[in-house]
Amino acid sequence: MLNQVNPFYLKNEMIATIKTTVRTEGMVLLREFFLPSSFTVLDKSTRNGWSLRCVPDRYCSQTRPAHPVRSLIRSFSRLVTGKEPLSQLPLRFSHRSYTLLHDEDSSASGVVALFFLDDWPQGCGGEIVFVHHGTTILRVLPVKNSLLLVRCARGTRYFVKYVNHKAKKRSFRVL
Amino acid sequence: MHEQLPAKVRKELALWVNDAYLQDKKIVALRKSFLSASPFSHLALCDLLLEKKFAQLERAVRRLPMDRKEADLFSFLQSGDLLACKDPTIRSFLSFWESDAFRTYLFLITGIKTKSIDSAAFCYEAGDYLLCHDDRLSGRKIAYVLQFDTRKQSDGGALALLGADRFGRPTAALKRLIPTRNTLTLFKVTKTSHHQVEEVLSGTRLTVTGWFHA
Repeated sequence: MLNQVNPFYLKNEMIATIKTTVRTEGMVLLREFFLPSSFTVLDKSTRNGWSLRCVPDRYCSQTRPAHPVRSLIRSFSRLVTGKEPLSQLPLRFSHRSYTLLHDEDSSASGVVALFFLDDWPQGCGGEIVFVHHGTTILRVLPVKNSLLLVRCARGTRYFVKYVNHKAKKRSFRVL
Repeated sequence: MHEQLPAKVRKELALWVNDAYLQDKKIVALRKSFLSASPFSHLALCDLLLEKKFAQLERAVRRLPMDRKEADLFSFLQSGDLLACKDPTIRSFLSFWESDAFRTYLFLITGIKTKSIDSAAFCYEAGDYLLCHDDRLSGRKIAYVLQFDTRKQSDGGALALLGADRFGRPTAALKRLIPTRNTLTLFKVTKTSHHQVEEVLSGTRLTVTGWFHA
C-alpha cells in the first residue's frame, strides 16, 4: 500500500529526517504526501457520503465511514514515529463546524496523524489547535495532500477552531 | 414569597429602572413568565433602564479598553473585571446592580436569592462567537446580559437557548433572543441551561455580562 505514497518520503534518509524532526520539533507536515494519481482517486472517493454529527457542547462537523487509506496512514506513522497513531474519524468541516476540548477527551501521550485533503485559507477559523495544559503549543491550517504528524505529551489535546462565515461554501476534509 | 415591592426598595429602583417594571402586577407577570419560560427559566426585559442612565452607561462602556480572547469555546473582545473599574458611571451602575434593592427585585421575579455579582463587558465583532455551554460554576445562580446594540436576526449574534435530551445533554436551539439595546436578559443557571452566542456576521454586539452569585 505504501506505493501510493510519494517515494520521496520513503527513502531511508528521509524517514530518518522525519523521525528526528518529530522527536525534536514535536511535529512535521509532509506536503504532497500521496502521488498525484493516488491523491486524485482518494479525493474523488471522499467527496460524498458525509453526514452531520453534532453534539453542541462537544463537536459539530460531518463524518463518513472509515476510509481504507487510514490503515496506510497508520502504517506510515508507525514507520516514522515507532508509535501507533491515535484513532481518528474522517471529518469534514465547513461553516459552523468545530470541535471543543472536553474533560473526557483522551489526554494520553501518543502521535496524532491527520491527513488533509483540502487547502484552507487563513481568517476563516478551522485551524487545528494543539493545547498543552491550557497553553496553545501549535496551530496548523490544513494543506491539500499533506500529512500532519504531532507527537503529543500527556495532557496535550487538540481542537478545530469554529469555522466562520468567511469560509462561505468552502470545506476541508481530514482523514 | 412577597409579591409587592417594599416602598424603600421601589424608591431606590426608580433611580435606574423604568417605572413600568416597578408595578406590582408587572412583577407578578414577569415571575410567571420567567418560571414558565422554555427551554429553561429566562426573561428578556426590554427598555429596562431609564434612558438617561442607560445612555451614560453606554458611553462609559463603549470607552472601555478590551482585549481579544480566543479559545476552543469562544472568540470575542473582553474588558477587565468591571468591579475593579474606576470609571464613576460604571461604579455607580454596579453599585446599583449589586444593591439589596436590585437583588430583592430579582428575587421577586426569579425566586432566587443572591448575594454578589461579577461583571465584564464583551464585544463581538464579525466572526466572533461563544459556543454551547451551560455556565455552571460554583455559586452562579442567575446569568445576565445587558445589551447595548440593536441587531437584526440576519446580523447574527443571537443568544440561542438550547433544549436538552433526557440525559440533560444539549440538543438544538429552541429559542433565539435577538440583541436589542437596553434589554436585560436573565436566565437561571442549571445543568440544562445550555446556550450559545451565535456567530456575529456583521456589525458589533456589545454587552455587559455576568452572574448573580449565591
